[in-house]
Amino acid sequence: MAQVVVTLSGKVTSSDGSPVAQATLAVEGTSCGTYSDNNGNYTLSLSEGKYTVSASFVGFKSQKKNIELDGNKVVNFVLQEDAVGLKDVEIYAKSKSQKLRESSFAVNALDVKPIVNSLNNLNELVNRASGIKVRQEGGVGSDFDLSINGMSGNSVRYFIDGVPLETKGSEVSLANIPVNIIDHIEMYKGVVPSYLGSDALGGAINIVTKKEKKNYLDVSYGIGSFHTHKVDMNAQIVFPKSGLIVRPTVGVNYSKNDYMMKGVEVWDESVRKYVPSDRKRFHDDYFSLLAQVEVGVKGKSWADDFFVTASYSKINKELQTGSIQTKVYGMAERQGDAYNISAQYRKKDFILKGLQMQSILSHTWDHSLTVDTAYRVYDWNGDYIESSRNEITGREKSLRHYKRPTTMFRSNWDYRINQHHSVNLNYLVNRTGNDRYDDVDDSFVPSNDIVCKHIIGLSYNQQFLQNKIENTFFVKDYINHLNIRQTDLYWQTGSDEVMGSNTNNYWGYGVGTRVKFLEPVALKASFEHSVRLPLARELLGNGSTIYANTALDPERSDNVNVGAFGTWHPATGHSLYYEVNGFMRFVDDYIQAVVAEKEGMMQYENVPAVHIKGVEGEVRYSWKRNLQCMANVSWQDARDQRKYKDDGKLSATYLNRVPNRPWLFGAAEADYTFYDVLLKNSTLRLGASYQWVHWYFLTWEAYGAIESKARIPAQHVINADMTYSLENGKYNISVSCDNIFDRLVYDHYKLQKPGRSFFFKFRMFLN
Amino acid sequence: MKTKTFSVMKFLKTGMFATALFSFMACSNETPNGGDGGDGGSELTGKVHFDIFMSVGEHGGMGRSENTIVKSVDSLTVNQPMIDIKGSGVELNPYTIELISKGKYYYQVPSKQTRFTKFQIINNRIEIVQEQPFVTNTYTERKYAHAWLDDNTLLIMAANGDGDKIIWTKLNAEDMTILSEGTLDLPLPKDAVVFTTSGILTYNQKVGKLYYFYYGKDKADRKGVPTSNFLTAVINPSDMKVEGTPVVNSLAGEMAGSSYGQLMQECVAYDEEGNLYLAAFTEEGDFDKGQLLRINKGESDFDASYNNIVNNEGKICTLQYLGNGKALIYSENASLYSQGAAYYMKYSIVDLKTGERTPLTYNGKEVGYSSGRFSQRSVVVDGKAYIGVNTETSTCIYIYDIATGTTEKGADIAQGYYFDVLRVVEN
Repeated sequence: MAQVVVTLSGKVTSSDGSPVAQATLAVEGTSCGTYSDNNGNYTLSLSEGKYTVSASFVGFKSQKKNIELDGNKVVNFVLQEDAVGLKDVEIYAKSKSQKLRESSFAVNALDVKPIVNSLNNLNELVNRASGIKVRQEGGVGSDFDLSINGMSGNSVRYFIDGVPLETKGSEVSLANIPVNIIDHIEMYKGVVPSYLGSDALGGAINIVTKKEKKNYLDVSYGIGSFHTHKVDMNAQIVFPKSGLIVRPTVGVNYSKNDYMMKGVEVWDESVRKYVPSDRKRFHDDYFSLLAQVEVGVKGKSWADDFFVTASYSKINKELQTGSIQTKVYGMAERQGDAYNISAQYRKKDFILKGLQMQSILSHTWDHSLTVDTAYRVYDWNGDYIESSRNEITGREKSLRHYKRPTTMFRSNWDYRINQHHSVNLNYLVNRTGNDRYDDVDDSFVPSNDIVCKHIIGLSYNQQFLQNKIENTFFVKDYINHLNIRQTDLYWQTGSDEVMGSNTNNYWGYGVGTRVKFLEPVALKASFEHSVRLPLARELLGNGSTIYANTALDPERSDNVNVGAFGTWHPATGHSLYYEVNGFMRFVDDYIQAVVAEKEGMMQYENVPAVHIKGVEGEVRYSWKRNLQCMANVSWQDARDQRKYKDDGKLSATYLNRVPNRPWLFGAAEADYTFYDVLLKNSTLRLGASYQWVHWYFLTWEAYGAIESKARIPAQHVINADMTYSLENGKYNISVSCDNIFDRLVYDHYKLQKPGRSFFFKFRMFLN
Repeated sequence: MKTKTFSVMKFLKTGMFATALFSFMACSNETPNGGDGGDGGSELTGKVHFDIFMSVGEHGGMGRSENTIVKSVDSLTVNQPMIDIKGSGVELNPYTIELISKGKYYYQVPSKQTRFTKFQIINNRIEIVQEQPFVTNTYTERKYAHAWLDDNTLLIMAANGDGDKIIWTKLNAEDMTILSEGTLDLPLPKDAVVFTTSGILTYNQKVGKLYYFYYGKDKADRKGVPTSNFLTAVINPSDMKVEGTPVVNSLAGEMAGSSYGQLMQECVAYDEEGNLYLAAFTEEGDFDKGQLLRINKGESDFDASYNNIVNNEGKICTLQYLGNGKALIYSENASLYSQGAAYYMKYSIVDLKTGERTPLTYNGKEVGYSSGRFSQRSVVVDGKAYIGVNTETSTCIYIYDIATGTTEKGADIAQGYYFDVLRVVEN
């Protein structure tokens, strides 16, 4: 007969009623236990029966209660302060993000949960992290390029709770994921843990969602400048009798993005000149929807977690400009729909004690469409003339479809041998199709590429001397499976050498170490020989303008990080954390499209690429629960490694700094929280942030007269926000202002970002 | 010592100036031809300078590079210092090397812009002289043909976006106003679904007719193949009416440079009598046989009896008339290219009457093969051809004296860049 699982929940408070966070709740005689959350709340899932439950926290006297559970029960603990302990002991708790920063990998982590009340733009938050640069083309939902220590594009992989983000749909990104579901964001620089199971050459971003233990409803609505609206809703419903858990999530973003473009060219027939004028964007509506429901159970004998998830994402995005703002679109747009279904299973002590197994199987139907059917030429007045060409490519009308069905299976086996040693085995298989066709452009040659990759990662972790020394060693095996059928142009494509079913195997490996004998001074270093497997398009061409190159090798990079960090408490309530990192990236065999001598034909080839070195530093300071400050600065120097030109002669750009990428930038932020303002259990949080990017050249800096060279100008952007929360965070109102001084800001050459904007957000969190 | 250096520099500068002043008082009557006086230097009247287009990191062609630098120099003679773009020259961005040039000015449909632009490169700056937004017909960068109807009238022509019609626009080159626009009454060739994107357009001044060379393809994409040999349409420039029925060429498959419409490489030339010469090619087996074809003055089709200049090694990529019945060609050796050689292009002087072809030589030795299939590094001005080469051992200018047939070495060009284009423009 199955045991009935019931829920024991309650709140841990001090004698004055204040919640006690991170208190330990232990069920004596069992291995069950948990910690109270920031509001002092706790939840335990137990079988019916009699238990002794203790609540303890440093600085307080422990309290025990005998409890008989014959159904769900609420039991509160009121802890008495331990006067002796308080005189002598000062507690500095570390957040998950802080603990992660102090791991052996070069990783930055951002706590999203504490600032979610005012947050409306995840990209902007990530952009303030050291070593990270997000270059956006415009406003809400615009395309962006995120770089980690100078490596971007395909070099960076994205995950949500360790699962590739692309499983939610190719259009789901940091720009539109609902922020309220996020607990924190992990940013791995150069060295990526093997359990993430991906061919990330330069780094990875892992979004970790919040894991509440009891029922809750989290709803927010935001309204902002440029007709921006955001709605987020997520909840958890636990059905006590069955133990069934349902977690619905909905995130909607909409913006007209009708911000003012300053100094754009508008034709004035009276003077027969293009005159710089201010005009509003008129074709930049953006809509995104992510809806998801998770249904499952926790704490069963056969599964610690078992959830089935279904999600749907939709994007509608009007396109306003080409790659520079002189090319104005008025009708072109992009649409995306993706359905996903997945099942995940996690079990501790699976087969043998200390072994945790976690697996996920997922399939995504992803369909995106680029609509370019208007024969028009628009200007910044919103006027147009009839044209004989479409807007984007200047050719015939096009309704270009991309269907990318993706099946992914990931299984992770983590075995803790003892308190010093653990091993982790991760296997990921990803099969992605790329079916491209066009509804109206007869000249488009449809193609349907499929690429299947298997990535196996094995890591071994050791900790000694009460975790003062931590080492991690890992190997990754990347297996790319191809089935080559094409035989034409074998001399160009190399298909004669790798005909038929073909499997290529590549190895990556790495190590990370951290030594922390003293809290103020600790050292860490890590290395990875990383690999990015070629995409189907790079290997197989596109059937028309790109030749296949079946002999293409993956991109490889040797990534090195060396860093020091430490925490110092100069006086009661004050904490100072610092971190300094140096890094080097030796990127070789870079996959680059090379134009063949025949007009317009391209082929991807491996070329020597770039070596990057850099330094970044970050300082964080906090005072009690009230003040938090952060400042960082990053410098990176990317040098071209292509020594010879196509004709075999030395290239002038060899060892030159690679242009059109930010190389010196920094950020600072501060926030101060007042407690019990006007009302008890209320908080008022005032925050401000500053972002700076040094100007940089669009092209190679050494060539051409300096006065003639195009530059991407420096950025100085100041943002501010204010949040008032009531009833311990149940009701929250925030107002934020981005780009307070309305500076003209560019991330890309002549593609203006929005000026000053305001955003108002109301969030309700009920539990 | 300082004084001496200064004096030497002053002397050299004065000498250079005098040389430039003396050498380049070119006059259109000195090297007359019957063509549209397009982008060559033979029609220039006044003091001139040379613009050297060098791209950094990658070739500047196909409208894709933001890394082209233009260095202006007064002289290309051997006594000049090495021509380098390190810290000097003007960044061409946002314009590209596919340009129309005449007199002092450049003309272009700039990349990602919906307008015609006339500009000047002067004092390390690009100065926009006049622009004109599209009104009816619209064009895309580098995919159009052009012809000069007179010194002040520029004709632009291209296939439309669907590729099934040929559109045209006449511009007043002085103020860039649109004089007239329209669509040619030109049917698609038999079995074709699209025209080639730009074709080759040229105006024969002595005949007063436009010649348009084009072909059709069975598919619109790059896998589309020509449905026939190329065709010739004769057009009345005043009303843009196609005269007669376009004729399918019986001598060659395709004209050279059809994708660029002579925005970068010249492939049409005229002799003093007004005979038109066209670089063309025919696919033979695994390679293309280069040919020079001729339309005799007043005729509407090519002279079948004139086919005596053939490059069996590969395509003839550029053609420029030198005078006295001679032309400069830049041709490929397809066999070397197929073997992976980077240097497989060479310059030759051809006698258009006899077909005799003489490779460019210096000091009795043949100048070696160059790299750069899509390059136009030669100009003809003041009785001389200035020929830029990029051989395995050097990047420099050779100066060919048309009257004497002698070649002298000119200025050296710094290595490490892609030397794509040489233009001559009025000061």
